[in-house]
Amino acid sequence: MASPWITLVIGLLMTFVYLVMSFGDTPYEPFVEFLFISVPGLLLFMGVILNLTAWSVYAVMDRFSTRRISPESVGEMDESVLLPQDSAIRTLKDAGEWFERMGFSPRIYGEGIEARHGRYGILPGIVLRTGLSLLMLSALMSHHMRQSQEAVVAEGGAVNVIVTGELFGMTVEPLKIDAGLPQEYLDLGKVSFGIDKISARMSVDGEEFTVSGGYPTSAGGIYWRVIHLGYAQPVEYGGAVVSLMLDVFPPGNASAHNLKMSGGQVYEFRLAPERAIRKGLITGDVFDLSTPRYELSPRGKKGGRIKVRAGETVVIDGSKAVFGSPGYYVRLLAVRDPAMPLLSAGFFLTALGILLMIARLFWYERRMAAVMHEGRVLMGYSEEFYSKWGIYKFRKWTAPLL
Amino acid sequence: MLSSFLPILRESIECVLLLALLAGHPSAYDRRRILFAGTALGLVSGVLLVYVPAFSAKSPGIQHWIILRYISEALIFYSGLLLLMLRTTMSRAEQRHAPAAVLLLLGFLLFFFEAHSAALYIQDLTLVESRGWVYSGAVLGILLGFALLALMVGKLPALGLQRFFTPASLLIAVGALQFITGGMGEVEDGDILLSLQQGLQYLVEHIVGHVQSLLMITQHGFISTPLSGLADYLREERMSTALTVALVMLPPVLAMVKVFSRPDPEVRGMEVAAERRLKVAFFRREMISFSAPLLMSFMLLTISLHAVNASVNPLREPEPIPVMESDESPGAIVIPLKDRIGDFTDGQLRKYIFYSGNTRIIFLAIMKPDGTVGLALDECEICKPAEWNTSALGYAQRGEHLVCKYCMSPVAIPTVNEPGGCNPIPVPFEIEEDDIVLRLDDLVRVHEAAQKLEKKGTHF
Repeated sequence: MASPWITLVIGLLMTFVYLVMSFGDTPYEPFVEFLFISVPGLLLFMGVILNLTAWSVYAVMDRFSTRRISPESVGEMDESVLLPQDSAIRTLKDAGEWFERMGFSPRIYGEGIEARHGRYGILPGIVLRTGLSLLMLSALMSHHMRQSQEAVVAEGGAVNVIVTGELFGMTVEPLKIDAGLPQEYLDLGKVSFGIDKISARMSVDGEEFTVSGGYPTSAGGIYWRVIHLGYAQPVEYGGAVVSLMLDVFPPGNASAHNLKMSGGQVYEFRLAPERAIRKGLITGDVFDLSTPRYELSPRGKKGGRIKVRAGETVVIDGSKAVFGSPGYYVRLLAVRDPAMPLLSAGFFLTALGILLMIARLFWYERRMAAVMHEGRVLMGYSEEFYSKWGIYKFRKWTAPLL
Repeated sequence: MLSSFLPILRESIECVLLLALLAGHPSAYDRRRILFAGTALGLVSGVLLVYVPAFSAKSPGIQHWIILRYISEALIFYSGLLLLMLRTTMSRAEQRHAPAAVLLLLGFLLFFFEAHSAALYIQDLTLVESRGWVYSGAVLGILLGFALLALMVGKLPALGLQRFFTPASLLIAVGALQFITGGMGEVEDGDILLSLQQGLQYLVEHIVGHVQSLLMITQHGFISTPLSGLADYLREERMSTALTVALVMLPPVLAMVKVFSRPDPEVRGMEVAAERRLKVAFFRREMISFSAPLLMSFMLLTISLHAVNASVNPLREPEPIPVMESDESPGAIVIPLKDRIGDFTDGQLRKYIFYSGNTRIIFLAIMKPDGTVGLALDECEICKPAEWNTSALGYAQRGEHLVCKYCMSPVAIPTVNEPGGCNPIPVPFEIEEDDIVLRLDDLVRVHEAAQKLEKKGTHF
């Protein structure tokens, strides 16, 4: 089972299938469906995983098993030399001492002696293959077992409108959302708006935990992550208070909302700049992010633009609307996936394996062996890589013995 | 007639030369009739697929034909790698006859797609030209091509191709040549290496996105995501370029490694020094012979990859805009930062030409990433193209760099205005309100000084 050839054949088959699918416009999605759902695809995919695993097992067994040293096995090494009878080395004991002088520690295996360096050089390959196997297996599991749900939740502002969500049958209540936004933001027309530290303290069915925009948080068997942020702007009109989820980040982005008081007219909300400043030759707009000012423009109409700051009252289509202090809303992604720990482990091991593989440039096995043959000592030498230079080295070492 | 004769002759010669390369190798020469039979089969099938309505009606579109041709070319190229892996040594004694089925397939693949494209071309040509002349030209082109083959066949063994090619390196070389000569430019528009790079770019982007989605760290427009830097790096074009280079160079490089990793023969037991030297010399000569076609493939592929890279990242060189002395500011040229011609904040290179008497002075201006302006002559202190190559003087823009058109050195845009090296020669200027103000005295003085420089650039 364990063979790079099998991996090559499976790889070629996969390439063939992918090429067939590339006749369509988007080959990746159907290719993933083929691998994860169809029987031939699953056989190929599992074939790769099993082969990678078996390859590692075979490598360990090969490297750490005791092998019989015979004249034939020594003769098959990269280079071997049958020492003359009048050589300084006439017995295996002499050969063992010579091995030690060359920096090799010999051990007796059957009729001969053998010394190895770099036996653990297979470790990077094992780590990489294990990581890839885990990643592939967990990707397959995840494809079939993952359940994802999203919900928008918002913290209360001055008018205390809290929007709760329901995920996997649990009520999700935001306790505090910290967006880590600066008071002011200077927009220079380039993509520079970014939120580094966003955290949302949540209460899910009584259990409290913090979810961030970074790595997912595990709680109650579910993985949580913040995947979007905006202002939750409370607006009071006609005696009712609603919280508008304004998707106005980054500044310039328009968020459309139907203000019912204005006969169903849809308004586009944008953050309005406080002032313009110059930096070098570029003009930039400064936005107040703590007490934002919005520009409302009626969709499909020219003119009629309204500017209003949070905390102010404005008249829209003849009706008075009170804009309260805004809070934040976040969109939460909740995932129930038993393969998540495997995915993380697989990713970590794959990354580690790739880094460790660099060590293979100088971390490889070198073997020296000797056995008695026709009353003389037969010595052999092999290197896992760079065998040409290994052969030259061995010839140089053995030249005085001939 | 010429419009069909010349392209068909060109394609025939290309295919025939590749065929001769294959047929001339000892592993195929004794069975060359099978190879030629495959060729005939490919030729006839390609033509029939176009001219027999029952086939042509079901035939896929030209884009699909191009993909199939790419697969065929890749098959030949990578079969060399496969052969290399299957055969553990490179000894001549190892050279055996190629299986008949393989020869038949090779002959077929060499001609099938070319014949199909040529037939499509001829079919189109008959719509606008006399059928008789078009067909006569095409048949003549094919006959001349094959006449060349007929002349060569008997002499092929004398070429001694086995001295240079192992079967693996032969397939790699033929594959590499097909990458360049494959297809008919008159019918198809595309390049296998460019398609490979674009395909890999698509694949890498999707795999990275898939892994991010699995790990729940899908990138967001403004919320910073873990490992997004790594994901961006992997998604960059340079990654797909690196993968393309690795994939394409793998067969010739591995074949070269195989050639050069053989140690010199053991000569310690040989008594006569001359014999020892002869044995080592023979071995090294063989190594050089074997490496020659691989080096050629390597070079051809390098050039092709470079062409692909250049087509993906083209040099952008704007036409110089004529400028004159300003009426409002006598003795100066005034260039608005924003006018009907464009806005400097787009970061694009702009060139201007000013006539000082009979002297043409070309200078460039660009807005740097920090919002300041760089202004300089369109020449440097070093490079001096020959008289016949004056179009290589000056700079063009490639992405975030200016590139000297002569020595192709990239110049970081933030360093424009800094003298030295291959940087453009800076010219003093001022920014007044929203205009660049350039004193004519300064421009002429710097230009004259630049012409007096003893430029050393002699390479081209």
